Amino acid sequence: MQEFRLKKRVAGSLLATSILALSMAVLPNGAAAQDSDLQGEIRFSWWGGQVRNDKTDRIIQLFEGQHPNVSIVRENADWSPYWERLTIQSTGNNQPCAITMQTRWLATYARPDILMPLDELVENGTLDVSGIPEPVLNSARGADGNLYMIPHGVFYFALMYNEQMAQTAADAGVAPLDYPYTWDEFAEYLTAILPHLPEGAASVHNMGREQDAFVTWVQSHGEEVFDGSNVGFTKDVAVQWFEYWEALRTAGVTEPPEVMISDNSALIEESNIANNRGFMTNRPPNQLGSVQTTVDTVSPGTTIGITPYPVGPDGTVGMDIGANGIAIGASCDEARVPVAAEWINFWTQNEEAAGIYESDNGVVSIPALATAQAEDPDTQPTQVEHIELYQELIDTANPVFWPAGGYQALTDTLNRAYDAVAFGQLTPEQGADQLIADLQQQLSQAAR
Amino acid sequence: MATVKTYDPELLRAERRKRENIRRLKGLGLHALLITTLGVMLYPVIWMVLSALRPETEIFGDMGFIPTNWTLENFVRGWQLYGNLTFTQFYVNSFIICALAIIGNLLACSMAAYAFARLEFRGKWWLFAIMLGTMMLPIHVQLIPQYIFFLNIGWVNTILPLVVPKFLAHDAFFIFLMVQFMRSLPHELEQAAIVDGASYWQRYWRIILPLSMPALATTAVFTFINTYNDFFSQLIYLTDTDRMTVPVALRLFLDPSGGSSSFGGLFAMVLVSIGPVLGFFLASQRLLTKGIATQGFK
Repeated sequence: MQEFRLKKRVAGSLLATSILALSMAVLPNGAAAQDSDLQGEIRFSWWGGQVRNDKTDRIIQLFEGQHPNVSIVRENADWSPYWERLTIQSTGNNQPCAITMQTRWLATYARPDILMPLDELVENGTLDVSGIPEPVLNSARGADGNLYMIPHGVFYFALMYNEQMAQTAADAGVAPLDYPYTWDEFAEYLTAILPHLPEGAASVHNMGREQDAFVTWVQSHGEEVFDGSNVGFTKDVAVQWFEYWEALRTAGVTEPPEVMISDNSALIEESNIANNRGFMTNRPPNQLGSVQTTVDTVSPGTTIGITPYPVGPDGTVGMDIGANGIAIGASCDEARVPVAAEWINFWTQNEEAAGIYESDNGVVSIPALATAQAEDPDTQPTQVEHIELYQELIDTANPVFWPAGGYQALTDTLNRAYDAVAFGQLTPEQGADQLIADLQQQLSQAAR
Repeated sequence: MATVKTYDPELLRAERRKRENIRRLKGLGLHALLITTLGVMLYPVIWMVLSALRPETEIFGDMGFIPTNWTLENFVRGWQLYGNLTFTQFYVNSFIICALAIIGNLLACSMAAYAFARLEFRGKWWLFAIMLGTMMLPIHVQLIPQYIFFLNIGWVNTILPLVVPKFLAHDAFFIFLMVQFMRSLPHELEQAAIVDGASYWQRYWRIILPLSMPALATTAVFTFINTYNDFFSQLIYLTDTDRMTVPVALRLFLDPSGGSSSFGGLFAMVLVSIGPVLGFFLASQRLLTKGIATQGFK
């Protein structure tokens, strides 16, 4: 009987706890309205790890400190879940007011029912785009020509290399690689440097499956990657690409295919360059600081340098650039739009905010702020190098317009096609046919 | 004439010793194999534990298995994710959701199971078949309609989408588990209660439920583990960082998009986050194995 009473009490308290917790869960968490010119609450979403989250949080605090009646609800996630969540939110028209966006993914979301077209806000001065270079701003336009995001950071792809290994080879008589160099000169250099590398190290990561390298190759050969929602490059250029990397692979200049697959992690800590297993790899230069930090622990005294991709046979630069920025969700109600716009202005134009962020997600889009960061003695040397190379290359860059689903489609299809070529299942011709057919199918599907 | 076979006791002892030695050798070999397998299986876990206890800069730098420098810094930095956000908040959020999910599943699934197992009503087998059919629906089919439904009733960014369905017997697997268990209970016990005038509720609450303890424990343990580890639902329904749960927060240490990752903090917090699952499992291990032994392999 006593046991039954006890059970009854336990059951009662469990029910009470559930009711209490449920009622707590439904309480609204909005901030109280305060008197100010700018007031209200907006949701802001971004992706990133602990360091970027901390910087973003500090910028939000700075903004909220300057606008005491404004509250920014933080919504952050890791890279892949970020896009998955945004897609689901968009289906329910529940996307945040301020959304961190990237040009490579923009076409998927660049529709007036998902993101707000911003041209009108720019024209009436609500959004301040002063100082943002025109090509960078234009890269934030959708297929319909509308401006859908305000870029705050510009990223590009380049090659990272081990400076000590390069020096050892130079001391042994291998002529250094001076930019601009063609793809053939690049291959010759990588072949020449191989005997001077530590045992087991490859000259270069096999980039046959790397879409950023492939994009550069295609553009440097005078072709387009996409033609609207269609494949823009020819079979010949794809065949040559596969043959180029197969020649280097069979000569032992790159790692074998099985290592190529295992080395493919996006995490810096697992990359060949950070672990002294390779001389050169392709990485976005904004990772230079992180790679250097990892290298410092694995191999103290080793320094990592960055160099641009090779140019085409006629000197054409094929480098793509992309931008990260902030968009406004189409579901953001009229009262909150001024807050979202002011937040975007603050993020892109405020010197202190830019100083906190330190071009963490691409070089700050306003050249004056980028120069100030490069000249700041407190800026990390790797970050200075990243900014300076960007300033050197930006005028020659050739931004790709990525159609809806294009980024993922090219990554997946190129991986599959080159893996099959590298493992001997397909010839380069067959690989190119497969790449073009699969890519076209995926692009057509995404365009529906 | 019959011959008497004689045995040399020395030879017999030697034979016995030989057999004993072979048995010991076999045992030794088997144990060596098991210990090696265990070592291989536990190696990543031990490596993670030791990595959590060494300075961040040495995790990928120090090739030695045992750290040269020991530190608790990763736990301190990991606990404080960023800004004002700490794992205290994430654990509170996770535990509230887990507790409500367990209560919901135990109550609602057991009631539904009782109805399917012991009561007779019209369309019972059709409903049972439909209930089993829901187990085969892939999550991707349900995701968007569910999200839009919860959004329309204003439940997004609250824990309600994660717990209210549990109070509505949403987990068909646990209903099925309990149905199977309840079917095996002797009908005489319930018939005796009917003779004594017990209502449906009294029979369910006072007879069936106490006897179903192993099945309830299995449900509680698996609900806890499933809910505690559930990443995706918590990611999409709890968007505000203040409402984040442990699995969602753990993903924020790494940045595959190219930024800096904090492996030290990640390993430390993964280690801490294993604690509740392990503790819950150990505490209910006896009931769990009983539940599986009596139910799982029917």
